[in-house]
Amino acid sequence: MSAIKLQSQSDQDLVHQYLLGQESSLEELIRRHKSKIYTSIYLLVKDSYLAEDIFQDTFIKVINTLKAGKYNEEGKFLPWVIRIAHNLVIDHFRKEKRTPVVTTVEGFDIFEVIKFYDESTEDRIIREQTHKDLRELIHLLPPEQKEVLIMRHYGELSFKEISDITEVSINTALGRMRYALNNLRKMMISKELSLKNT
Amino acid sequence: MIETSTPTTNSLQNNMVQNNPITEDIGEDEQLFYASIKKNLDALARNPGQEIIAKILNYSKSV
Repeated sequence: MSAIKLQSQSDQDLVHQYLLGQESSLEELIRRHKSKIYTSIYLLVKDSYLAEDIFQDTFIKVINTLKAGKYNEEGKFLPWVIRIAHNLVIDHFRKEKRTPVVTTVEGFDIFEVIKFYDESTEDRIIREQTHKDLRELIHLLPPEQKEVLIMRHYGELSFKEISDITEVSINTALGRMRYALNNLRKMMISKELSLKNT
Repeated sequence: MIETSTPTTNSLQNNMVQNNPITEDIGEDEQLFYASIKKNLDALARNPGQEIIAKILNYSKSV
């Protein structure tokens, strides 16, 4: 099947085609959702290498579950994968028995370099610093608020889906999102961080 | 925290909510703040390396 035709398929169709042996359908599912899933993991663990390991383990579980015929969440592929990734992140921290540490290892993305090649050095420094500041402010949020913000923004999950994954009520998930945004705003004000021009 | 509803007369906010369905039900102030930082949150998105994706696809073919 051509790449263009694959791109027009729903997640549900791609899962069915994959189960019929079409490996390119899995490739399209990964291409479609890799950023949402990987970013959701990365912002929780704060380590690009660990995030890649968990991303890989997530899809190994996805593949094993699909090939075992145990997938029964038709039409909800992304929330299902995010749930698996979330559980693996929790497992990791349970094993480590510690809170995540800030790593100095920064991923290098050539496309980011290409994208901003015509940016002035000063603008680039400001942009990078602003994004670094925002990432650090997100890390300062209480874990349950950070979790909801990441699942909602990067995973694009509904509050119902988030409440199912985190085992709280929808109102609690909504409240955590509100608190996350309020806390981010307060921290940005106290740090005089403006994001308007970045 | 007091939860407030979105006024139907605020066209700017209605447009914003329509463009950002992700913000439903979280309160007016929070929606406006979220809209102001959304682009920056998007900019923090990352991708896994191609070698990881290749490993996953190879695993899939092997099982």
